[in-house]
Amino acid sequence: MLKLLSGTSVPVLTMPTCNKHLRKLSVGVCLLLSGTLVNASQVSEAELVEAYPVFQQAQDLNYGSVLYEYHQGNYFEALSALNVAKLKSGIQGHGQHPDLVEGGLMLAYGMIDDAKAVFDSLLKKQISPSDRNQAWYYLGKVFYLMEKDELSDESFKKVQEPLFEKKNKALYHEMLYLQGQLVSRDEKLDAQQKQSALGKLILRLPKENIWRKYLEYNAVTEAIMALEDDSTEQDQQSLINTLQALADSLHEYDDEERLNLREQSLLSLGQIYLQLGRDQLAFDSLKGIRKDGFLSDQALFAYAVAATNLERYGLALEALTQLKERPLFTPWIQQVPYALAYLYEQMSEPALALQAYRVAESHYESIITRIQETKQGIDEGQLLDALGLSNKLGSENITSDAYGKLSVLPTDFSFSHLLANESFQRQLSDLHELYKLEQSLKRWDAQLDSFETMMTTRIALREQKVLQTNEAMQAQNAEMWEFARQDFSQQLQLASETEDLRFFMDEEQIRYGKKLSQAEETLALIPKDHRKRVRYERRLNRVKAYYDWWLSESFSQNRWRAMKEFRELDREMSDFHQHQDNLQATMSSDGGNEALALRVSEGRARLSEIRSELQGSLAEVREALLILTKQDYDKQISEADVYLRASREALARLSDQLYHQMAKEESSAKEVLE
Amino acid sequence: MNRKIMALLGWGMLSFGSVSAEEAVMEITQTPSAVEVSQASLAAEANVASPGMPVEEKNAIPEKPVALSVAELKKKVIKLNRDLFILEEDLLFPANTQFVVYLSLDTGKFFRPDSVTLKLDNQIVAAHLYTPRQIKSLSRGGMQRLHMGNLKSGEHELTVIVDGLGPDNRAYKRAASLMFDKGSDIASLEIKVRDQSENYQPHVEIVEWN
Repeated sequence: MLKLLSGTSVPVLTMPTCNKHLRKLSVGVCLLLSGTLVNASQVSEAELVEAYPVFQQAQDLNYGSVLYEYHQGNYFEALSALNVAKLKSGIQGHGQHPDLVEGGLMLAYGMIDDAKAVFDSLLKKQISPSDRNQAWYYLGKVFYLMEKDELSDESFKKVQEPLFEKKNKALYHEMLYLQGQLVSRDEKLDAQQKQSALGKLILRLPKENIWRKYLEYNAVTEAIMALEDDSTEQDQQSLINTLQALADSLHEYDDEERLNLREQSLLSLGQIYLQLGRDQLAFDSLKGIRKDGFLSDQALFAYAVAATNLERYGLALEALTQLKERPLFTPWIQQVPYALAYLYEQMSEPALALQAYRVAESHYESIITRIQETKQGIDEGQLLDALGLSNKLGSENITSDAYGKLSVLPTDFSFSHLLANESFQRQLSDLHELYKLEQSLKRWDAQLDSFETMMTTRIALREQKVLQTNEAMQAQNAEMWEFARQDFSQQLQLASETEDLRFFMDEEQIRYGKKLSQAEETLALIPKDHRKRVRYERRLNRVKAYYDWWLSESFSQNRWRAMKEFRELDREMSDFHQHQDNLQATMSSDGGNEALALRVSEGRARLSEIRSELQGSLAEVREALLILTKQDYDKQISEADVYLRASREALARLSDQLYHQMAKEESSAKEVLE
Repeated sequence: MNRKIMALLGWGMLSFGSVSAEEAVMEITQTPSAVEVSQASLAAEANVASPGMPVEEKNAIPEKPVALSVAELKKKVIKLNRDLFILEEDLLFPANTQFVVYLSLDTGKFFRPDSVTLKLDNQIVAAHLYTPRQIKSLSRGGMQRLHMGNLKSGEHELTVIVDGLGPDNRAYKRAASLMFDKGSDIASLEIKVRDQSENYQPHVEIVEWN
């Protein structure tokens, strides 16, 4: 009968790397937590976004645009928009909140040092208690991410909790979770102190809150880890009951996050029950785990163990066969061909077992060759294909959480444990961000091309316009008009000085004067001896006297009118000159085109410099990712090698056993015949 | 028993076998022990080369993570982005002709917009189909810059047509219009889609920002 043992050397399972969130737990607990914790931060994203400063009505249009990008998780675009808004006219009507948002954006965008600088500077200003609370909280989170736990704890302690809970409930809950993580990471605390501190934090979170569920899970698994040799069965059972209650409490939810945590709890329960030899309970717990989830491989294998222990070989065989059909790179199903053979052996089917060991041997041989070949030829493209990220990296289709980690569902599940590796995740996120930056630079490259064309066209059009304006100004003959004005000015001055009555005559007087001249001319034509001539002369003289009196009388008025008109003319001429000067000035300047062209060319230079830096960083990140992948392949080879040797040994042992059995049977048969 | 649990948790092993650990080690002497393999796994996790790893790869990972340089690069690109956005605006939409239309959504309890069409002087200048993510962002206080263009000074008419789902998931279409005078400064208009609690109906209006 199959029995579960600890410490056997044959099928050894590898331990997926712990997620950063629970790195404080020991390696074993990380094993239990793997899978779930990869998603722990995804929940936080939803809650964090909810929690960041929200204004139903933006008081500033530019700030509204920043929030529009921000709430969609477009951190890069939001940061760019925020910078534009700040440089243009600042953000009005929102107090210090834009700074909080900027820090939060930097935090989410992986610019942790810059986020720290923002919060540090904010805390030096006079800000409202609510803003101060948020700034302390974010600073605590920055230190948490920097793994400066003491500073993180100090910052969290500076938050005024009642106000924070009232104004920023979601952030407050996350803070309690982070404080729980700090407690777990604190090496100065013993197990009992940790449990007590965690218990207090858990009680402060609402019962259904996801952060509470995570803390509960972490606390109970940590307590199991900390069980002493002399602990009672009652202690064990109490912890198991807590874990069971947690799994049950997550039963009602249908969101992926809680489902994953529930399955993680069930898997942990199943494994613990198996260790305790309570196979039926293990079997029942493991049954509740989906066959297509992240934990399905581990769960199916544990299920097969439980079924075997319960002598339900059919179910065990079914589970192992299912596992066998999956891509055999994951640590949890690496052992399946060997386990299958072993199962046959335990079912007293030596012939089948022998055959299965042969299959296992050949399988491990081929898998080692395949991994070695893949390792030799792996490049970025293949890696991204396996992660289901081909043509996606750098695009908006990939979302990242509030800690900057990508939400990735690999097409090849053998990479799922590699994805749980913090270092790999970080490099992958960096690669994604770098591709995004590259996209942005490409867009600007194209834009700058069009700007340059635009500037060339604009300059050519301007030159053409200047030419046309010059021609039009020349056609206006401005100098002639100025000369005429000056001439008239002199005449006016002379007439005024000499009191030239006729110079200032109005139109009626001129007309009248002309009539008088005509009358004089007509009179000159009349013979001197004409009887009426004397009378005409007298009348004409009378009229001329009146005319002279009239001119003299209206001189002042006429002169004033003439001077007034001249002044108006002067004004017109001055306006004309002003306009002409303006045109000349406009024509002689470049209309700001030079400054714009300079900005375009400066932009081009900066773009080119940043592009080359980007290429360098891309190469570094690619290399780091491939090295991590190859290291993982090495680990897989080493694991496959263990199973290969185990299969060979078993094959030899079984062959030997069968040979001896056959020999024995033959000799018995001979004896019978004899 | 506790030790057993510890072992399970500690080394993550579920194994088949009817022999004890000692017997198994004796039986397969060539097989590395659980401890050895686990240590190898741990070593690999800690970015230390595992025994089978080629020598040249052992120290191939840079000592300093590229994260710092990536953050620096991000900062530079954001700054460049900012300057180029402003340059783009100065070039394409000078302040004296600039015309911008924003859209905001207030709560969205009675109305969930699906699409919007914007007409300026009876010509369609912008149309947009909303994703759930965009709607969520709008309902959290974000404002979408729906249109940016150039406009001559003088009187103009802006019309907006918003399609979506109203109360009881019924298809709703709402429109609003505004005559406005474009002066020599930037003209900024906001389309406000808001709930009217008096009649439980959505309401669309256009307001001018000074």
